Amino acid sequence: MYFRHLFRIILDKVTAKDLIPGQQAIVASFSDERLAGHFAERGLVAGERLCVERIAPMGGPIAIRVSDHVLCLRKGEASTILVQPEGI
Amino acid sequence: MKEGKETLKVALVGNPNSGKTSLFNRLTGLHQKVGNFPGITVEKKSGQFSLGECKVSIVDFPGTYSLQPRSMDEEVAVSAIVDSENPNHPELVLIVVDASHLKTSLYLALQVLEKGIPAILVLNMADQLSRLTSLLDLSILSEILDVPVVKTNAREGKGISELKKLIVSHSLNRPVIEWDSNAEKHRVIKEILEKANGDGAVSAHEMTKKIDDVLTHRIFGMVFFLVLLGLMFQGIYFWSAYPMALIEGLFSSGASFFTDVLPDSFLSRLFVEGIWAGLSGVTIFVPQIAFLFLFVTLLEETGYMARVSFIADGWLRKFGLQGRSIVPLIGGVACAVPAILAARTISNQKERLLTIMVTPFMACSARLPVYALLIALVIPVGFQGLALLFMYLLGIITALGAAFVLNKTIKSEEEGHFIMELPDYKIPKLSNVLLEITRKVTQFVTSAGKIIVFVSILLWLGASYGPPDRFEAIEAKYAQAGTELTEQQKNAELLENSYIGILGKSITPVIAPLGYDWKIGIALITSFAAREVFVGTMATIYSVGSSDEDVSSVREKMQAQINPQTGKPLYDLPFGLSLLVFYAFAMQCMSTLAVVKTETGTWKWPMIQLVMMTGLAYISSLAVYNLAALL
Repeated sequence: MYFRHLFRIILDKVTAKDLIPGQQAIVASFSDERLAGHFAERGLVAGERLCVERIAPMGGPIAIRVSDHVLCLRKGEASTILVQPEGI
Repeated sequence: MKEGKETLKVALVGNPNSGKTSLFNRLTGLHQKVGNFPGITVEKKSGQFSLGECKVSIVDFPGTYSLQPRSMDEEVAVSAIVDSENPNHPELVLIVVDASHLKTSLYLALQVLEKGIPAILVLNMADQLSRLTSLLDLSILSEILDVPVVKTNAREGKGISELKKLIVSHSLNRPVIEWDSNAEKHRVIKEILEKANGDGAVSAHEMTKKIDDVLTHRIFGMVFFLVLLGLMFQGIYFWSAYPMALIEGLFSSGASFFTDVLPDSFLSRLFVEGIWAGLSGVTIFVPQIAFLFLFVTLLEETGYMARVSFIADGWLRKFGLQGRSIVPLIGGVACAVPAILAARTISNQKERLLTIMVTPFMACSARLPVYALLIALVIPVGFQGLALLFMYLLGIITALGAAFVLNKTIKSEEEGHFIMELPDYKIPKLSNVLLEITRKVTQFVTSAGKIIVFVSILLWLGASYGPPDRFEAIEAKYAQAGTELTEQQKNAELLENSYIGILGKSITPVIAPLGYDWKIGIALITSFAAREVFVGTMATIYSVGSSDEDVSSVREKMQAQINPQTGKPLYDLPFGLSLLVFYAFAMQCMSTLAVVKTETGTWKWPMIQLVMMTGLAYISSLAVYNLAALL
């Protein structure tokens, strides 16, 4: 887990899925244009700060605090959000 | 300014959870009705109020985050706002802006304003935030967006009369402002928030976070959830039994009253045994629907429903369902009819459809009398409890398995994404809960109810009438004797010779491979009304009591039947297992089909469901019968 984490940081390919609860990051870009449109509606745009609040059990969704609310995304969706992690 | 008796058409637009529904309830009170947008399954709530000379009709549009439609259904709702030719096109839009979610609310507001429709911005706030947002400078908001702004607290009813005054006196012209891109919109929102001194920071969130640490915890969260599900189950399964018994009693005393008062004719029998019985069959669902929606609405109002979705989504997603599907599925153990209505809370259309399609596999309470009869008939005493448990498990496994298969087969035009908000916890508003229950019950009675009454009348006609020559012969035969026993035998003979009886006999070649005789054939057809009717029909056929559902006397009678060819019991273990499996899988419930039709908007899905479930039932029963016969 930790190694994969480091590996992704080196490759500069960290996504919201790779973050751990409590960790903050700045949204860099999106790899899925269509989803990016939906994220924008919810205030999830490049440059915004997000914070992983909690992760559901059994491979469930990730709760991310962004803009003025908490959003749940499934892992596949979270992995389309490329981020710049803050303070590891 | 709108003069005279003409009605002003107003639309209510806003994010989900923005307090839009509370505002709608406040504006219209009890003057509201629920329908669908033409041809689609998006709920259309409309209502009205009048102030002075002016009448205002309000349509509550489905909660949305953008005017970019995500599904066919949403497209129709969105096009009503955008397209001025549309019959639902409003003359004025109330944009509900949630004070605790200014950024996301304003994003939608900007999209609506861009369309150039006359609009009023309603800054709606939850009570705990009123102090925080009172700092927000409304004049700046109004100035930048060039639109009137009103502050309300819909939950407490504050600001509603000001809003009503503004609606009726509002000018219906407005200059069109456009923003080049989404990025531009976000920039404008930032500017507004900075100038108006409201950065959208929310203080109520800390409390929510602490509650969530417990309620979404992998152990405590699950325990809490199971306790809630247990309560919900208790409500629809056991507590609603009392009002249901009351309704049944009222309708049956009504029936005997009418039988006494009305002259004995075809019309009076049609009324009492057809229409009245059909109405009773519709009303009987009301307590279960009310109980289930009491829970569902409370869960939605408090914000807990989103947590249910959050913790259950991980494993339900593997079957093509989603977290919220758990409520219809568990509800289906009591009754599929309210459960399918509860699937409305699932926003993704495909996941909702899958949930609707598989919920009737759950072992509902109407199967219980059938299971009880058959298990007592063929399963050895020591294994009866185990057998019943197995039937419940079979329901769950089949529902999930069917969802898995359907997920692979049904193609969806809709994008399958899951972006769900975890709203802050709120104390539910009782009036909202009660209004929602009333809406659901009325909707059921007026839509699915019609179909149920119609089919009950058909089934009654088929079971009570037959070819006149046969019926006259039976009447003549029993005309001499008059004891109770012969009355029951006469009823059995009448049923056997009714149209349904003839139909039941004619399907014997089809059901014979499953181990069923013509008597079961008749019971299969009559129990299409509701599964438990099977027991009553067997009672009539074996002339034990007229309509009472005394399981043990029917069982004794069935146990005593001997197969004339083999000399062994007619209803043996292979037969029993085969019929148990048949009732577990087959779509033997017209009310469920009716509610699936009204919830999906077409007859396509209930028909697919009927073929799928009854087909699966046939094949499985055939396999079980032949396997068991080998042993």
